Amino acid sequence: MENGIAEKNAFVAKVIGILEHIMAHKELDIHIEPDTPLFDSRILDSVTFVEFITALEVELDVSVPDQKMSTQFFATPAHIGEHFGN
Amino acid sequence: MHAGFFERAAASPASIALDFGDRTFSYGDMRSLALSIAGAVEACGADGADSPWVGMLAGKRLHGYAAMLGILAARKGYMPLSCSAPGLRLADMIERSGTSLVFADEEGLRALPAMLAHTGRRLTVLVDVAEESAAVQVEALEEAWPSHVFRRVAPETMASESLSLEIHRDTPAYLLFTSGSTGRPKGVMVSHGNVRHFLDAIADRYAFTVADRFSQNFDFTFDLSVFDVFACLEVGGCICVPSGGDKVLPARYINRSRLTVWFSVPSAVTAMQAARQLKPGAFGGLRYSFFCGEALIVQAARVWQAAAPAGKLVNLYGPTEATVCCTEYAWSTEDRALADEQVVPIGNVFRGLHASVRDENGVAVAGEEIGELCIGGPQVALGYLDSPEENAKRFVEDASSGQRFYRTGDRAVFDARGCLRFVGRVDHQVKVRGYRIELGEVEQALRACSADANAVAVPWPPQAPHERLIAVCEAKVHDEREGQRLIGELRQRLPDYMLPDEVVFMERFPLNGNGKIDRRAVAQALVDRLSQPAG
Repeated sequence: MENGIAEKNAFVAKVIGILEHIMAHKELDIHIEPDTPLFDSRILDSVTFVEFITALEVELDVSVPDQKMSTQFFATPAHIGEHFGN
Repeated sequence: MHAGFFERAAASPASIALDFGDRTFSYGDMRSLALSIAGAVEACGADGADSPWVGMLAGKRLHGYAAMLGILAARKGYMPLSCSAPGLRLADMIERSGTSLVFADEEGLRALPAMLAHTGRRLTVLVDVAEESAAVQVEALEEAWPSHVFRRVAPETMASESLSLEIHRDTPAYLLFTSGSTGRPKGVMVSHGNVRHFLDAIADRYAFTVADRFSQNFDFTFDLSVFDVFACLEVGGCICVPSGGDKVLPARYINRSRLTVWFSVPSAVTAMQAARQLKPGAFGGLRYSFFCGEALIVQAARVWQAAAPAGKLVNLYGPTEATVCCTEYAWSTEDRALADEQVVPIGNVFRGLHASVRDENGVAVAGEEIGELCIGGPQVALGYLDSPEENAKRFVEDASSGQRFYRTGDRAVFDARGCLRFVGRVDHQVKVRGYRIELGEVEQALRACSADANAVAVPWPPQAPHERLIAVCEAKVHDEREGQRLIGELRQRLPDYMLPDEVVFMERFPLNGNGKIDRRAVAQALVDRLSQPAG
């Protein structure tokens, strides 16, 4: 159980790492927390979202099924951890 | 242009006008707030009398829509200001419009200090402190900016009986700034008569009803929002406002909001495809899908039509200077004449308008020859703000008929069917993700940020529709850090949609025969470089 939480936290940290890397590329110095709303703070837009999904699939070996391509699964890094972290 | 809304609000105040997914507002709610704002604008008569415009620093929230209607009801034109635009740019718009009156909503109040820091004008800022956090914000602002006046909007200060919906057609309705080639944005002034003609043309062609639920993808600073808002409110329909997430992943928004009318730029189709949002039959409820703002590729139209099989798909075209849009082409899967890679025609001009294709001397070309598309008739805007030279160049009179027309700068041709097709531009204006951008304006900003180094902005991919903008700067070595510094500095000067996605350095720019930078050769060099394997 403890291990499961640690793994999930590590996954969320990696998700945040990917997002901060995408932001840095746009010369935006944005600090992201596990509960940062990713859509409302304009971190994910239609361009960065596709970059993010690609990174998620390639770097974290996550596969995102079509039926999960919907906002409620990506609202915050914590949500992403919940739905895609193993 | 606002009369339709007030008539609907009087007849059925309980009908829902705005749906945010988690919250709705009725026509009555919106009318009350609009009348409050109208009253406040009128009460500032002396302050605002010097200008026909009122700035609107508000987004797609109840207060933004109500401000638009309230400003119009007070017989002023609204000037939308983007809360995310650089303060310097906003201050310049205020200065040029000559107004000293601005309405700001909660988000607008947060953006206000950056604008006030650059303005020399003493402003009156209208605020509604009934908004949750606005009251606290206003007190802090009053202390920090004592030279400006903050005036609170009071409930329904304009009595509905004193609301007069008769308005002269030349009365200014809105002022929108578009990209300008010399680095200075162009302010396009549009009248009530212009919009009235547009809305009538739309009503004439499409049978919208009170049951229709409209998408609202466009920001107020983009004139296609006039369709989203006013075409909907006139028929008593409901505006369904997407959240930040809905804009990125719209499939759920379309179905959850039970949209019947969709309107977006064609690049939204590409983005939705990339985000796996387009499944055959996914949007069975859409009655109409409209696309405007850039070239619509046949393949994109096919994919969309498959996703929304029950609806009509219409390609619209028009520059801001001819009011929202002025031509239409009803696309159909049966259109066998068009191959996949082709661009959907822009079609035929709305009834009451006149389209002609002319040569550089302003003479109409014969048959299927390419020329500059010119639009005449009641949708041709009042003109540009403070730019007599640009006005003389673009808004011209026909030598024989004396009719005023607008030279669009778009190259077009009438095909054998008499249908208009878009061919390209006569100048360096481009559309990137549907946004109209003058490459000259981006280049001017690049030079200003890089000690006057030569710079060229290249839309990417080189063939339309363009998805990105790449800045190419002349420098001996490629320096990624310098590239990022440049983008950071450009952010202070340009709105987000004009920011280059990437900066590439090139040692020496190729020149053409006249010793000028050869844009085509720069773009070609970029193709060569970017197609090389990395490493």
